[in-house]
Amino acid sequence: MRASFVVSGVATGIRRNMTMTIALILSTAIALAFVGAAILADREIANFKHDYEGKLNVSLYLCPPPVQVLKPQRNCKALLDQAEKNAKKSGKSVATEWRKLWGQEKDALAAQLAKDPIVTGVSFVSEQEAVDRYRKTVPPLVARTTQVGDLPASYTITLQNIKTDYDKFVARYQTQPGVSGTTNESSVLKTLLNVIDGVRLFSIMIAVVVLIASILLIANTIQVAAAQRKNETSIMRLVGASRWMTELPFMLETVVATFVGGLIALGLIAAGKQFVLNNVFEVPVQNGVIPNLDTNDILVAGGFGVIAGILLAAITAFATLRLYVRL
Amino acid sequence: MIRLDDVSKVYPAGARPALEKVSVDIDKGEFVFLIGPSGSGKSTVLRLLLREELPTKGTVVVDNRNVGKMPNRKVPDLRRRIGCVFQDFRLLPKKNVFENVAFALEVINKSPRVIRRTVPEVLDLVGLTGKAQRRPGELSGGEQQRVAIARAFVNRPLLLLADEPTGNLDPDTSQGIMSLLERINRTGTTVVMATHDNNIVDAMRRRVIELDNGRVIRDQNRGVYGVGR
Repeated sequence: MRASFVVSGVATGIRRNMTMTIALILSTAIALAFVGAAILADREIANFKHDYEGKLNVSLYLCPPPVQVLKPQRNCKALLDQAEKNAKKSGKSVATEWRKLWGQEKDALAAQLAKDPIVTGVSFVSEQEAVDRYRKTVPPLVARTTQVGDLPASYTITLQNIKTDYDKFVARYQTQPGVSGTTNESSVLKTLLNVIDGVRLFSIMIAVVVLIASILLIANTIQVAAAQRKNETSIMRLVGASRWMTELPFMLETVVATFVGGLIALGLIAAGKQFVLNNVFEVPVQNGVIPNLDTNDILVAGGFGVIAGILLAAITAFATLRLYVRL
Repeated sequence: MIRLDDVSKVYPAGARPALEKVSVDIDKGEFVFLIGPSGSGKSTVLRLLLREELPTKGTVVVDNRNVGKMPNRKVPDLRRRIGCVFQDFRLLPKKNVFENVAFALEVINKSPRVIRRTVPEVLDLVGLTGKAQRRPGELSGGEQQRVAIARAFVNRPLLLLADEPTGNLDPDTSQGIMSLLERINRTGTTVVMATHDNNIVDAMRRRVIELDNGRVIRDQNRGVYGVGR
Protein backbone atom coordinates (compact mmCIF):
# COMPACT_ATOMS: atom_id res chain seq x y z
CA MET A 1 0.00 0.00 0.00
CA ARG A 2 1.34 3.42 -0.95
CA ALA A 3 2.00 5.17 2.35
CA SER A 4 1.95 8.65 0.84
CA PHE A 5 -1.43 8.03 -0.74
CA VAL A 6 -2.92 6.80 2.53
CA VAL A 7 -1.34 9.62 4.53
CA SER A 8 -2.65 12.30 2.19
CA GLY A 9 -6.09 10.65 2.35
CA VAL A 10 -6.00 10.74 6.13
CA ALA A 11 -4.90 14.38 6.18
CA THR A 12 -7.71 15.38 3.80
CA GLY A 13 -10.22 13.43 5.85
CA ILE A 14 -9.20 15.09 9.10
CA ARG A 15 -9.26 18.54 7.51
CA ARG A 16 -12.72 17.94 6.10
CA ASN A 17 -14.04 16.67 9.40
CA MET A 18 -12.15 19.08 11.63
CA THR A 19 -14.83 19.89 14.23
CA MET A 20 -15.67 16.25 14.80
CA THR A 21 -12.00 15.36 15.02
CA ILE A 22 -11.48 18.06 17.65
CA ALA A 23 -14.44 16.75 19.63
CA LEU A 24 -12.95 13.27 19.42
CA ILE A 25 -9.52 14.49 20.52
CA LEU A 26 -10.96 16.31 23.53
CA SER A 27 -13.20 13.50 24.70
CA THR A 28 -10.45 10.90 24.38
CA ALA A 29 -8.05 13.27 26.17
CA ILE A 30 -10.43 13.51 29.13
CA ALA A 31 -11.23 9.81 29.16
CA LEU A 32 -7.58 8.78 28.94
CA ALA A 33 -6.58 11.33 31.59
CA PHE A 34 -8.97 9.62 34.00
CA VAL A 35 -7.67 6.21 32.96
CA GLY A 36 -4.18 7.55 33.74
CA ALA A 37 -5.33 9.01 37.06
CA ALA A 38 -6.76 5.64 38.07
CA ILE A 39 -3.47 3.97 37.18
CA LEU A 40 -1.49 6.58 39.13
CA ALA A 41 -3.74 6.17 42.17
CA ASP A 42 -3.14 2.45 41.92
CA ARG A 43 0.62 2.94 41.82
CA GLU A 44 0.44 5.36 44.72
CA ILE A 45 -1.43 2.78 46.79
CA ALA A 46 1.16 0.17 45.87
CA ASN A 47 3.97 2.57 46.81
CA PHE A 48 2.32 3.29 50.14
CA LYS A 49 1.93 -0.38 50.93
CA HIS A 50 5.49 -1.05 49.89
CA ASP A 51 6.88 1.81 51.98
CA TYR A 52 4.96 0.96 55.11
CA GLU A 53 4.81 -2.82 54.89
CA GLY A 54 6.07 -4.24 58.20
CA LYS A 55 6.94 -0.79 59.43
CA LEU A 56 3.58 0.00 60.91
CA ASN A 57 3.85 0.69 64.60
CA VAL A 58 1.69 1.53 67.54
CA SER A 59 2.43 4.59 69.60
CA LEU A 60 1.99 4.69 73.34
CA TYR A 61 1.93 8.34 74.40
CA LEU A 62 3.15 9.37 77.78
CA CYS A 63 1.69 12.24 79.74
CA PRO A 64 2.80 15.62 78.47
CA PRO A 65 4.39 18.06 80.90
CA PRO A 66 1.59 19.71 82.92
CA VAL A 67 2.41 23.29 81.91
CA GLN A 68 1.34 22.53 78.38
CA VAL A 69 -1.94 20.99 79.33
CA LEU A 70 -4.83 22.93 80.77
CA LYS A 71 -6.74 20.02 82.25
CA PRO A 72 -4.91 16.71 82.34
CA GLN A 73 -7.18 13.71 81.98
CA ARG A 74 -7.38 10.40 83.79
CA ASN A 75 -3.88 8.92 84.34
CA CYS A 76 -2.21 12.23 83.69
CA LYS A 77 -4.44 13.98 86.23
CA ALA A 78 -3.53 11.33 88.78
CA LEU A 79 0.11 11.91 87.98
CA LEU A 80 -0.22 15.65 88.43
CA ASP A 81 -2.19 15.28 91.67
CA GLN A 82 0.47 12.97 93.07
CA ALA A 83 3.22 15.37 92.01
CA GLU A 84 1.46 18.26 93.78
CA LYS A 85 1.11 16.17 96.98
CA ASN A 86 4.77 15.18 96.89
CA ALA A 87 5.77 18.81 96.30
CA LYS A 88 3.94 19.94 99.42
CA LYS A 89 5.70 17.27 101.48
CA SER A 90 9.18 17.74 100.07
CA GLY A 91 9.00 21.47 99.42
CA LYS A 92 10.37 21.03 95.92
CA SER A 93 8.62 22.44 92.87
CA VAL A 94 5.67 20.59 91.30
CA ALA A 95 7.56 20.36 88.02
CA THR A 96 10.50 18.58 89.61
CA GLU A 97 8.27 16.13 91.45
CA TRP A 98 6.19 15.59 88.30
CA ARG A 99 9.27 14.84 86.24
CA LYS A 100 10.51 12.39 88.88
CA LEU A 101 7.20 10.51 89.01
CA TRP A 102 6.91 10.62 85.24
CA GLY A 103 10.37 9.06 84.97
CA GLN A 104 9.41 6.27 87.33
CA GLU A 105 6.24 5.51 85.42
CA LYS A 106 8.10 5.64 82.14
CA ASP A 107 10.62 3.09 83.41
CA ALA A 108 7.84 0.91 84.84
CA LEU A 109 6.17 0.91 81.43
CA ALA A 110 9.45 0.03 79.75
CA ALA A 111 9.86 -2.94 82.07
CA GLN A 112 6.30 -4.09 81.45
CA LEU A 113 6.63 -3.71 77.67
CA ALA A 114 9.88 -5.66 77.67
CA LYS A 115 8.14 -8.61 79.29
CA ASP A 116 4.98 -8.45 77.13
CA PRO A 117 4.83 -11.36 74.64
CA ILE A 118 2.74 -9.49 72.04
CA VAL A 119 5.35 -6.72 71.85
CA THR A 120 8.29 -7.44 69.61
CA GLY A 121 10.02 -4.08 69.59
CA VAL A 122 10.10 -0.95 71.71
CA SER A 123 11.80 2.34 71.13
CA PHE A 124 11.52 5.52 73.11
CA VAL A 125 10.74 8.82 71.37
CA SER A 126 11.60 11.75 73.57
CA GLU A 127 9.76 15.06 73.51
CA GLN A 128 12.68 16.52 71.53
CA GLU A 129 12.55 13.74 68.94
CA ALA A 130 8.78 13.99 68.66
CA VAL A 131 9.06 17.67 67.80
CA ASP A 132 11.92 17.03 65.38
CA ARG A 133 9.84 14.47 63.51
CA TYR A 134 6.77 16.63 63.46
CA ARG A 135 8.68 19.58 62.05
CA LYS A 136 9.66 17.49 59.03
CA THR A 137 6.07 16.92 58.02
CA VAL A 138 4.72 20.45 58.22
CA PRO A 139 5.41 23.68 56.35
CA PRO A 140 8.29 25.78 57.75
CA LEU A 141 6.02 28.35 59.41
CA VAL A 142 4.30 25.70 61.54
CA ALA A 143 7.63 24.03 62.22
CA ARG A 144 9.08 27.25 63.65
CA THR A 145 6.18 27.79 66.06
CA THR A 146 6.28 24.28 67.45
CA GLN A 147 8.32 23.94 70.66
CA VAL A 148 9.73 21.11 72.65
CA GLY A 149 7.02 20.01 75.10
CA ASP A 150 4.19 20.70 72.70
CA LEU A 151 4.18 17.05 71.83
CA PRO A 152 4.37 14.24 74.37
CA ALA A 153 7.11 11.66 74.52
CA SER A 154 6.06 8.20 73.45
CA TYR A 155 7.03 4.60 73.01
CA THR A 156 6.97 3.34 69.46
CA ILE A 157 5.98 -0.26 69.68
CA THR A 158 6.07 -3.00 67.15
CA LEU A 159 3.42 -5.60 67.78
CA GLN A 160 3.71 -9.19 66.75
CA ASN A 161 0.52 -8.81 64.74
CA ILE A 162 -0.83 -5.31 64.54
CA LYS A 163 -4.22 -6.41 63.25
CA THR A 164 -5.07 -8.90 65.99
CA ASP A 165 -3.06 -7.61 68.92
CA TYR A 166 -3.87 -3.94 68.82
CA ASP A 167 -7.13 -4.17 70.79
CA LYS A 168 -5.47 -6.38 73.41
CA PHE A 169 -2.62 -3.89 73.63
CA VAL A 170 -4.96 -0.94 74.14
CA ALA A 171 -6.91 -2.74 76.87
CA ARG A 172 -3.67 -3.58 78.66
CA TYR A 173 -1.91 -0.20 78.55
CA GLN A 174 -4.62 2.46 78.21
CA THR A 175 -5.14 2.55 81.98
CA GLN A 176 -1.50 2.24 83.05
CA PRO A 177 -0.13 5.15 85.08
CA GLY A 178 1.65 7.72 82.90
CA VAL A 179 -0.12 6.76 79.67
CA SER A 180 -2.08 9.52 77.94
CA GLY A 181 -3.18 7.53 74.94
CA THR A 182 -2.40 5.16 72.11
CA THR A 183 -2.58 5.47 68.38
CA ASN A 184 -2.49 2.95 65.66
CA GLU A 185 -0.58 4.14 62.59
CA SER A 186 -2.25 1.57 60.43
CA SER A 187 -5.66 3.15 61.02
CA VAL A 188 -4.31 6.57 60.02
CA LEU A 189 -2.75 5.03 56.96
CA LYS A 190 -5.93 3.14 56.20
CA THR A 191 -7.86 6.42 56.05
CA LEU A 192 -5.33 7.85 53.64
CA LEU A 193 -5.38 4.69 51.53
CA ASN A 194 -9.19 4.81 51.51
CA VAL A 195 -9.04 8.36 50.18
CA ILE A 196 -6.66 7.36 47.40
CA ASP A 197 -8.75 4.30 46.68
CA GLY A 198 -11.79 6.54 46.41
CA VAL A 199 -9.92 8.72 43.92
CA ARG A 200 -9.08 5.60 41.94
CA LEU A 201 -12.66 4.37 41.88
CA PHE A 202 -13.95 7.81 40.95
CA SER A 203 -11.41 8.03 38.12
CA ILE A 204 -12.39 4.62 36.82
CA MET A 205 -16.08 5.56 36.81
CA ILE A 206 -15.50 8.85 34.98
CA ALA A 207 -13.12 7.12 32.58
CA VAL A 208 -15.71 4.47 31.74
CA VAL A 209 -18.44 7.04 31.13
CA VAL A 210 -16.26 9.28 28.96
CA LEU A 211 -14.83 6.27 27.13
CA ILE A 212 -18.34 5.17 26.22
CA ALA A 213 -18.97 8.69 24.93
CA SER A 214 -15.73 8.50 22.94
CA ILE A 215 -16.65 5.15 21.42
CA LEU A 216 -20.02 6.48 20.31
CA LEU A 217 -18.33 9.59 18.97
CA ILE A 218 -15.90 7.46 16.96
CA ALA A 219 -18.79 5.45 15.52
CA ASN A 220 -20.64 8.65 14.59
CA THR A 221 -17.57 10.35 13.17
CA ILE A 222 -16.85 7.39 10.94
CA GLN A 223 -20.41 7.18 9.69
CA VAL A 224 -20.45 10.88 8.88
CA ALA A 225 -17.03 10.70 7.22
CA ALA A 226 -18.07 7.65 5.21
CA ALA A 227 -21.23 9.42 4.04
CA GLN A 228 -19.18 12.47 3.04
CA ARG A 229 -16.80 10.36 1.04
CA LYS A 230 -19.34 8.02 -0.49
CA ASN A 231 -18.29 9.14 -3.99
CA GLU A 232 -14.67 8.43 -3.39
CA THR A 233 -15.15 5.07 -1.71
CA SER A 234 -17.63 3.85 -4.30
CA ILE A 235 -15.11 4.65 -7.04
CA MET A 236 -12.41 2.92 -5.05
CA ARG A 237 -14.53 -0.20 -4.80
CA LEU A 238 -15.41 -0.12 -8.48
CA VAL A 239 -11.82 0.03 -9.62
CA GLY A 240 -10.91 -2.85 -7.34
CA ALA A 241 -9.37 -1.29 -4.26
CA SER A 242 -9.11 -3.81 -1.47
CA ARG A 243 -11.34 -3.47 1.54
CA TRP A 244 -8.37 -2.48 3.65
CA MET A 245 -7.48 0.28 1.23
CA THR A 246 -10.94 1.80 1.56
CA GLU A 247 -11.22 1.33 5.31
CA LEU A 248 -7.71 2.16 6.44
CA PRO A 249 -7.99 5.95 6.04
CA PHE A 250 -11.07 6.03 8.28
CA MET A 251 -9.40 3.88 10.90
CA LEU A 252 -6.21 5.91 10.77
CA GLU A 253 -8.12 9.16 11.20
CA THR A 254 -9.65 7.97 14.45
CA VAL A 255 -6.37 6.47 15.59
CA VAL A 256 -4.53 9.75 14.90
CA ALA A 257 -7.20 11.71 16.79
CA THR A 258 -7.00 9.27 19.71
CA PHE A 259 -3.22 9.47 19.72
CA VAL A 260 -3.32 13.28 19.92
CA GLY A 261 -5.96 12.95 22.66
CA GLY A 262 -3.66 10.51 24.46
CA LEU A 263 -0.75 12.97 24.32
CA ILE A 264 -2.98 15.69 25.77
CA ALA A 265 -4.06 13.23 28.46
CA LEU A 266 -0.39 12.60 29.26
CA GLY A 267 0.04 16.35 29.75
CA LEU A 268 -3.05 16.49 31.96
CA ILE A 269 -1.79 13.59 34.08
CA ALA A 270 1.64 15.22 34.50
CA ALA A 271 0.00 18.53 35.42
CA GLY A 272 -2.41 16.83 37.83
CA LYS A 273 0.39 14.93 39.54
CA GLN A 274 2.41 18.14 39.82
CA PHE A 275 -0.54 19.95 41.38
CA VAL A 276 -1.65 17.29 43.86
CA LEU A 277 1.66 15.80 44.99
CA ASN A 278 4.03 18.73 44.49
CA ASN A 279 1.78 21.62 45.52
CA VAL A 280 -0.97 20.36 47.82
CA PHE A 281 1.13 17.72 49.62
CA GLU A 282 4.47 19.39 49.04
CA VAL A 283 6.09 18.90 52.48
CA PRO A 284 4.98 15.35 53.33
CA VAL A 285 6.02 14.28 49.86
CA GLN A 286 9.41 15.97 50.19
CA ASN A 287 10.02 14.22 53.49
CA GLY A 288 8.93 10.87 52.16
CA VAL A 289 5.83 10.54 54.32
CA ILE A 290 3.67 10.33 51.21
CA PRO A 291 5.47 8.40 48.48
CA ASN A 292 6.18 10.51 45.43
CA LEU A 293 5.46 9.45 41.86
CA ASP A 294 8.20 9.98 39.31
CA THR A 295 8.30 10.62 35.57
CA ASN A 296 8.36 6.90 35.02
CA ASP A 297 4.99 6.49 36.75
CA ILE A 298 3.53 9.29 34.63
CA LEU A 299 4.87 7.73 31.44
CA VAL A 300 3.56 4.30 32.40
CA ALA A 301 0.10 5.66 33.22
CA GLY A 302 0.00 7.95 30.17
CA GLY A 303 1.54 5.39 27.86
CA PHE A 304 -0.90 2.73 28.92
CA GLY A 305 -3.71 5.22 28.30
CA VAL A 306 -2.41 6.07 24.83
CA ILE A 307 -1.98 2.43 23.81
CA ALA A 308 -5.33 1.36 25.25
CA GLY A 309 -6.99 4.34 23.59
CA ILE A 310 -5.49 3.58 20.21
CA LEU A 311 -6.51 -0.08 20.41
CA LEU A 312 -10.01 0.88 21.45
CA ALA A 313 -10.27 3.42 18.63
CA ALA A 314 -9.01 0.96 16.03
CA ILE A 315 -11.38 -1.77 17.20
CA THR A 316 -14.34 0.62 17.35
CA ALA A 317 -13.52 2.00 13.91
CA PHE A 318 -13.14 -1.48 12.47
CA ALA A 319 -16.40 -2.69 13.99
CA THR A 320 -18.26 0.41 12.83
CA LEU A 321 -16.97 0.03 9.29
CA ARG A 322 -17.90 -3.63 9.16
CA LEU A 323 -21.27 -3.39 10.89
CA TYR A 324 -22.74 0.00 10.09
CA VAL A 325 -21.05 1.35 7.00
CA ARG A 326 -21.34 -0.11 3.53
CA LEU A 327 -18.33 1.22 1.76
CA MET B 1 -15.43 -14.01 -21.47
CA ILE B 2 -18.90 -13.70 -19.96
CA ARG B 3 -21.43 -16.43 -19.42
CA LEU B 4 -24.78 -16.11 -17.75
CA ASP B 5 -26.37 -19.48 -17.31
CA ASP B 6 -30.05 -19.58 -16.37
CA VAL B 7 -29.61 -16.56 -14.15
CA SER B 8 -32.46 -15.20 -12.07
CA LYS B 9 -32.33 -12.30 -9.70
CA VAL B 10 -35.04 -11.41 -7.22
CA TYR B 11 -34.59 -8.33 -5.05
CA PRO B 12 -35.92 -8.81 -1.54
CA ALA B 13 -38.50 -6.05 -1.90
CA GLY B 14 -39.39 -6.77 -5.50
CA ALA B 15 -42.60 -8.59 -6.32
CA ARG B 16 -41.40 -9.86 -9.68
CA PRO B 17 -37.88 -10.99 -10.56
CA ALA B 18 -35.48 -8.40 -11.98
CA LEU B 19 -34.01 -11.12 -14.16
CA GLU B 20 -35.59 -14.42 -15.04
CA LYS B 21 -33.71 -17.38 -16.51
CA VAL B 22 -31.28 -15.29 -18.50
CA SER B 23 -28.66 -17.21 -20.46
CA VAL B 24 -26.13 -15.25 -22.48
CA ASP B 25 -22.61 -15.88 -23.76
CA ILE B 26 -20.31 -13.06 -24.70
CA ASP B 27 -16.93 -13.77 -26.27
CA LYS B 28 -13.70 -12.00 -25.70
CA GLY B 29 -13.42 -8.86 -27.80
CA GLU B 30 -17.14 -8.55 -28.53
CA PHE B 31 -19.07 -5.27 -28.52
CA VAL B 32 -22.55 -5.85 -27.12
CA PHE B 33 -25.48 -3.49 -26.65
CA LEU B 34 -27.85 -4.31 -23.84
CA ILE B 35 -31.15 -2.64 -24.61
CA GLY B 36 -34.65 -2.54 -23.23
CA PRO B 37 -36.98 -0.17 -21.38
CA SER B 38 -36.29 1.11 -17.86
CA GLY B 39 -36.66 -1.68 -15.34
CA SER B 40 -36.05 -4.39 -17.92
CA GLY B 41 -32.96 -5.64 -16.06
CA LYS B 42 -30.05 -4.07 -17.98
CA SER B 43 -28.44 -2.53 -14.93
CA THR B 44 -28.98 -5.71 -12.94
CA VAL B 45 -26.93 -7.63 -15.52
CA LEU B 46 -24.08 -5.12 -15.17
CA ARG B 47 -24.29 -5.27 -11.38
CA LEU B 48 -24.12 -9.04 -11.46
CA LEU B 49 -21.03 -8.95 -13.67
CA LEU B 50 -19.37 -6.55 -11.23
CA ARG B 51 -20.54 -8.62 -8.30
CA GLU B 52 -22.37 -5.72 -6.80
CA GLU B 53 -25.21 -8.21 -6.60
CA LEU B 54 -25.35 -11.97 -6.29
CA PRO B 55 -27.61 -14.02 -8.56
CA THR B 56 -30.59 -15.61 -6.82
CA LYS B 57 -30.26 -18.59 -9.17
CA GLY B 58 -27.92 -19.64 -11.93
CA THR B 59 -24.25 -18.98 -12.57
CA VAL B 60 -22.46 -15.83 -13.62
CA VAL B 61 -18.98 -16.40 -15.03
CA VAL B 62 -16.61 -13.57 -15.87
CA ASP B 63 -13.11 -14.33 -17.17
CA ASN B 64 -13.44 -17.96 -16.08
CA ARG B 65 -14.40 -17.04 -12.53
CA ASN B 66 -17.71 -18.00 -11.01
CA VAL B 67 -18.68 -14.58 -9.74
CA GLY B 68 -21.58 -15.80 -7.63
CA LYS B 69 -19.43 -18.23 -5.65
CA MET B 70 -16.42 -15.98 -5.34
CA PRO B 71 -15.29 -15.17 -1.78
CA ASN B 72 -15.43 -11.48 -0.82
CA ARG B 73 -11.69 -11.10 -0.66
CA LYS B 74 -11.33 -11.98 -4.33
CA VAL B 75 -13.82 -9.36 -5.49
CA PRO B 76 -11.25 -6.51 -5.74
CA ASP B 77 -9.17 -8.66 -8.07
CA LEU B 78 -12.19 -9.27 -10.32
CA ARG B 79 -12.97 -5.56 -10.44
CA ARG B 80 -9.43 -4.73 -11.44
CA ARG B 81 -10.17 -6.58 -14.66
CA ILE B 82 -13.36 -4.68 -15.30
CA GLY B 83 -13.68 -1.00 -16.22
CA CYS B 84 -16.89 0.89 -15.51
CA VAL B 85 -18.48 3.96 -17.04
CA PHE B 86 -21.74 5.55 -15.92
CA GLN B 87 -24.26 8.04 -17.18
CA ASP B 88 -23.35 10.49 -14.40
CA PHE B 89 -19.55 10.21 -14.94
CA ARG B 90 -18.82 9.83 -11.18
CA LEU B 91 -15.70 11.95 -11.17
CA LEU B 92 -14.20 13.46 -8.04
CA PRO B 93 -14.88 17.21 -8.34
CA LYS B 94 -11.89 18.31 -6.26
CA LYS B 95 -9.35 16.36 -8.25
CA ASN B 96 -8.15 17.42 -11.66
CA VAL B 97 -8.31 15.21 -14.74
CA PHE B 98 -4.92 13.66 -14.17
CA GLU B 99 -5.66 12.97 -10.49
CA ASN B 100 -9.06 11.49 -11.26
CA VAL B 101 -7.49 8.97 -13.61
CA ALA B 102 -4.47 8.39 -11.37
CA PHE B 103 -6.81 7.70 -8.43
CA ALA B 104 -7.87 4.42 -10.01
CA LEU B 105 -4.24 3.32 -10.09
CA GLU B 106 -3.26 4.69 -6.69
CA VAL B 107 -5.93 2.72 -4.86
CA ILE B 108 -4.69 -0.52 -6.38
CA ASN B 109 -1.15 0.24 -5.29
CA LYS B 110 0.47 1.11 -8.61
CA SER B 111 3.79 2.87 -8.22
CA PRO B 112 4.06 6.62 -8.91
CA ARG B 113 6.39 5.80 -11.78
CA VAL B 114 3.78 3.62 -13.49
CA ILE B 115 1.13 6.29 -12.84
CA ARG B 116 3.25 9.06 -14.36
CA ARG B 117 3.75 6.97 -17.47
CA THR B 118 0.30 5.44 -17.94
CA VAL B 119 -2.04 8.34 -17.19
CA PRO B 120 -0.78 10.66 -20.00
CA GLU B 121 -0.96 7.73 -22.43
CA VAL B 122 -4.58 7.05 -21.67
CA LEU B 123 -5.47 10.77 -21.65
CA ASP B 124 -3.95 10.92 -25.09
CA LEU B 125 -6.05 7.92 -26.18
CA VAL B 126 -9.32 9.56 -25.08
CA GLY B 127 -8.35 12.88 -26.64
CA LEU B 128 -7.77 14.93 -23.51
CA THR B 129 -4.13 15.82 -24.05
CA GLY B 130 -3.51 19.25 -22.58
CA LYS B 131 -6.48 19.14 -20.22
CA ALA B 132 -4.80 17.14 -17.47
CA GLN B 133 -4.84 20.01 -15.00
CA ARG B 134 -8.52 20.93 -15.47
CA ARG B 135 -11.09 20.03 -12.88
CA PRO B 136 -14.28 18.19 -13.92
CA GLY B 137 -16.31 21.37 -13.35
CA GLU B 138 -14.30 23.10 -16.05
CA LEU B 139 -15.04 20.45 -18.68
CA SER B 140 -18.00 19.80 -20.96
CA GLY B 141 -20.17 16.73 -20.43
CA GLY B 142 -18.49 14.88 -23.26
CA GLU B 143 -15.04 15.67 -21.91
CA GLN B 144 -16.07 14.52 -18.43
CA GLN B 145 -17.25 11.24 -19.87
CA ARG B 146 -13.89 10.89 -21.63
CA VAL B 147 -12.18 11.31 -18.26
CA ALA B 148 -14.44 8.60 -16.84
CA ILE B 149 -13.59 6.32 -19.75
CA ALA B 150 -9.89 7.05 -19.28
CA ARG B 151 -10.23 6.10 -15.63
CA ALA B 152 -12.07 2.89 -16.53
CA PHE B 153 -9.50 1.95 -19.15
CA VAL B 154 -6.26 3.07 -17.52
CA ASN B 155 -5.71 -0.31 -15.91
CA ARG B 156 -6.27 -2.03 -19.31
CA PRO B 157 -9.30 -4.09 -18.23
CA LEU B 158 -10.45 -7.16 -20.14
CA LEU B 159 -14.02 -5.95 -19.93
CA LEU B 160 -15.53 -2.48 -20.09
CA LEU B 161 -19.07 -2.05 -18.74
CA ALA B 162 -20.87 1.12 -19.76
CA ASP B 163 -24.24 1.98 -18.21
CA GLU B 164 -25.95 4.55 -20.45
CA PRO B 165 -22.68 6.39 -21.08
CA THR B 166 -24.32 8.75 -23.56
CA GLY B 167 -27.48 9.31 -21.52
CA ASN B 168 -26.51 12.85 -20.56
CA LEU B 169 -24.91 13.87 -23.84
CA ASP B 170 -26.13 15.43 -27.06
CA PRO B 171 -26.04 13.29 -30.25
CA ASP B 172 -22.79 14.73 -31.64
CA THR B 173 -20.95 14.30 -28.37
CA SER B 174 -22.44 10.83 -28.01
CA GLN B 175 -21.04 9.96 -31.39
CA GLY B 176 -17.56 10.95 -30.19
CA ILE B 177 -17.93 8.78 -27.09
CA MET B 178 -19.06 5.84 -29.22
CA SER B 179 -16.04 6.07 -31.49
CA LEU B 180 -13.88 6.14 -28.42
CA LEU B 181 -15.54 2.98 -27.06
CA GLU B 182 -15.13 1.40 -30.45
CA ARG B 183 -11.44 2.22 -30.45
CA ILE B 184 -11.12 0.66 -27.00
CA ASN B 185 -12.98 -2.39 -28.26
CA ARG B 186 -10.46 -2.69 -31.11
CA THR B 187 -7.66 -3.09 -28.55
CA GLY B 188 -9.30 -6.39 -27.62
CA THR B 189 -11.35 -5.19 -24.67
CA THR B 190 -14.83 -6.64 -24.47
CA VAL B 191 -17.42 -3.84 -24.23
CA VAL B 192 -20.90 -4.29 -22.80
CA MET B 193 -23.01 -1.16 -23.04
CA ALA B 194 -26.50 -0.70 -21.66
CA THR B 195 -28.36 2.01 -23.54
CA HIS B 196 -31.65 3.56 -24.58
CA ASP B 197 -30.16 5.40 -27.50
CA ASN B 198 -31.65 3.86 -30.64
CA ASN B 199 -29.66 6.13 -32.99
CA ILE B 200 -26.41 4.82 -31.64
CA VAL B 201 -27.47 1.19 -31.69
CA ASP B 202 -28.77 1.51 -35.21
CA ALA B 203 -25.63 3.28 -36.42
CA MET B 204 -23.17 0.84 -34.90
CA ARG B 205 -24.70 -2.40 -36.09
CA ARG B 206 -23.26 -4.54 -33.34
CA ARG B 207 -24.64 -7.44 -31.35
CA VAL B 208 -27.86 -6.47 -29.54
CA ILE B 209 -29.32 -8.26 -26.54
CA GLU B 210 -32.78 -6.97 -25.71
CA LEU B 211 -34.31 -7.45 -22.31
CA ASP B 212 -37.91 -7.02 -21.33
CA ASN B 213 -39.27 -7.62 -17.86
CA GLY B 214 -36.12 -9.48 -16.91
CA ARG B 215 -36.13 -11.85 -19.88
CA VAL B 216 -34.00 -11.92 -22.98
CA ILE B 217 -36.40 -11.38 -25.86
CA ARG B 218 -33.82 -10.87 -28.61
CA ASP B 219 -30.15 -11.68 -29.11
CA GLN B 220 -29.04 -10.62 -32.56
CA ASN B 221 -25.70 -10.07 -34.19
CA ARG B 222 -25.42 -6.77 -36.09
CA GLY B 223 -28.83 -5.73 -34.71
CA VAL B 224 -30.74 -2.49 -34.57
CA TYR B 225 -32.67 -0.94 -31.67
CA GLY B 226 -36.22 -1.74 -32.58
CA VAL B 227 -37.11 -4.39 -35.11
CA GLY B 228 -39.75 -2.88 -37.37
CA ARG B 229 -40.15 0.07 -35.00
